[in-house]
Amino acid sequence: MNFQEWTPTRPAQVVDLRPPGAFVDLSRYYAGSAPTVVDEIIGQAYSLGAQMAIIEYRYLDPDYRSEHSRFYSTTFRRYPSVAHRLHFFRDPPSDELNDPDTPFDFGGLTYLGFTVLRPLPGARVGRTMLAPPPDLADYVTCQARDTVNFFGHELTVRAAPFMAQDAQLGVCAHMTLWSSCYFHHLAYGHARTLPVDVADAVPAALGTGRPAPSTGLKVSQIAAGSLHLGLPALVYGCDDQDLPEGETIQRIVCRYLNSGMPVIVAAGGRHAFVLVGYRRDFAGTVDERLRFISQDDERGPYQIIEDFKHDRYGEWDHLIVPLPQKVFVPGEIAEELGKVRMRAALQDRAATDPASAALLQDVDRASSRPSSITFRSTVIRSNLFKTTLRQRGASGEVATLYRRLQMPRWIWVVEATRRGPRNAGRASVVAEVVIDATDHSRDMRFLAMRTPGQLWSWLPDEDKAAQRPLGAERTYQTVSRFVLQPPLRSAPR
Amino acid sequence: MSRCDENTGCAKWVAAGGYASRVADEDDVAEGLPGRPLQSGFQYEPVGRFTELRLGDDAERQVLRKIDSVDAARLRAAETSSSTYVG
Repeated sequence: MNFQEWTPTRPAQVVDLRPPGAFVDLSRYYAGSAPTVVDEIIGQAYSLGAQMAIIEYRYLDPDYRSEHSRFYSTTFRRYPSVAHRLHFFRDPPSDELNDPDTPFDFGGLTYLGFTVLRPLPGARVGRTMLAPPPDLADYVTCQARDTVNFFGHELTVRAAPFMAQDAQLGVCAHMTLWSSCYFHHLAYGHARTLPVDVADAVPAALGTGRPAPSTGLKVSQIAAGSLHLGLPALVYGCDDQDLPEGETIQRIVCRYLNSGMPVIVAAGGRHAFVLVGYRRDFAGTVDERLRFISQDDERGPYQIIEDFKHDRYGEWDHLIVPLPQKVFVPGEIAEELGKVRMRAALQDRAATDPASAALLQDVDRASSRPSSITFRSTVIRSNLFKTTLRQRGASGEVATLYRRLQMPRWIWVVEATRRGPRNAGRASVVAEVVIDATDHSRDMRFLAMRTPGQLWSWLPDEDKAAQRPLGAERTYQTVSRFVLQPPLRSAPR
Repeated sequence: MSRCDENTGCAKWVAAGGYASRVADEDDVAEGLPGRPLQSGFQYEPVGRFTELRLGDDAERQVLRKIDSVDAARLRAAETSSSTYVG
């Protein structure tokens, strides 16, 4: 691609995607020497029903600008400092759109998302926020809203962030950190992180390669980078003997994905990618299959991993889970504490309360029956836990009591759920324990606990507790559908 | 003044100034501070008074074993994470 031709004087180009060959022409124009990801993104836009693309020229992309100022401005070969941004719409082009004398409301169009295209033939795809394919939309649990200003009109898309490596300043490992950070920025208000911030956050001295061009990172460098970027990561070895007792890769990953926390995977000693969702097919049967959804910077966004035990990149070596700083308590410990606490409370009341006795029996009887109990642990902002109580099915009484409890910003909610309704994505929560995500690991308490007929509260500062009788409550929807705003269309399953 | 049964944990209802205000404990009012306290709806007592909140030895051990297991897994991951390359 010619340096001079990259930035035409006109502001944009409207591309009608409906004629035969439009897909190929657009892909070919941007393919460069690494067409795979470009083809994948344009193909996914088609699957979303895109009928029109608008190429925004001379786009000042903060992410690419940071790569340019640090690296591409220092090379003999010249690279433009501006990018293109390709926007996709479900609507077809119209005559009014091309008429500068006619007011046109881009906000009235159905927006599907955008991809930033770098002027780098070998690494075209930059920051991308493209809505998930229709068949995966309900299963991507790490979706955040992003708003762009497009010629004075605000357009919003909900997506999981994606960026392909530029293969010089950043490789796949850097991109996993970037996409995790950008998600936390959009979803939880974390500071925005640019590629150069990621490169600077990774301690080069811990590796053996040069920082630029990067040849790869150790898992420990990814973890250190995550720490410096304000999202200290939990790291898990994936060998069975390396996992905590009673845990599996699936349980750990799903726990964080249910919480809206992307999980980085280092696989086969050669590649890293980010998990942003999962889909469980044939749940509760012998044919049950868990398919993870990944942002794989070598292939594209929303890639299905059919069988993680036979991943195309090799065995999974490590899971790296960047978490907000104030989530001190790991999910597996919160879940164990919640289960033990709930069981003790049920046991105490079982003799006098038939509902508690029945629930205790279901908790103890581990089986695949639809009525059996399985636990789900979700880390969620306490504000969202409180504001969504009524939506989830809580009575006015329980909602009021919960809302008046003082809680930290992040809490773990350990829910006892009925397996059958849970697998079907319906309301399934019959009891829950709320745990302070900043609690002391050797003296952990709960903040609140609801079991049939009662609600407990514990004041940690005074070591006082209270119990409040309740009437019969409906079955609640899981909080994991409500970890993000707006809520997911259906509960993760 | 009307009260509901304290044994059920239900708060007291106190008629004041023509409307009802709900307090869990009448002593829980800051002296000299204007306004009325917003009550939580709970009556708190020292945790030791609730036998329901005592965990048995087995349950305590179960939680501690999990914590130890998570700590050990973290150490093992730290050992291998400095030798695994990606990218």
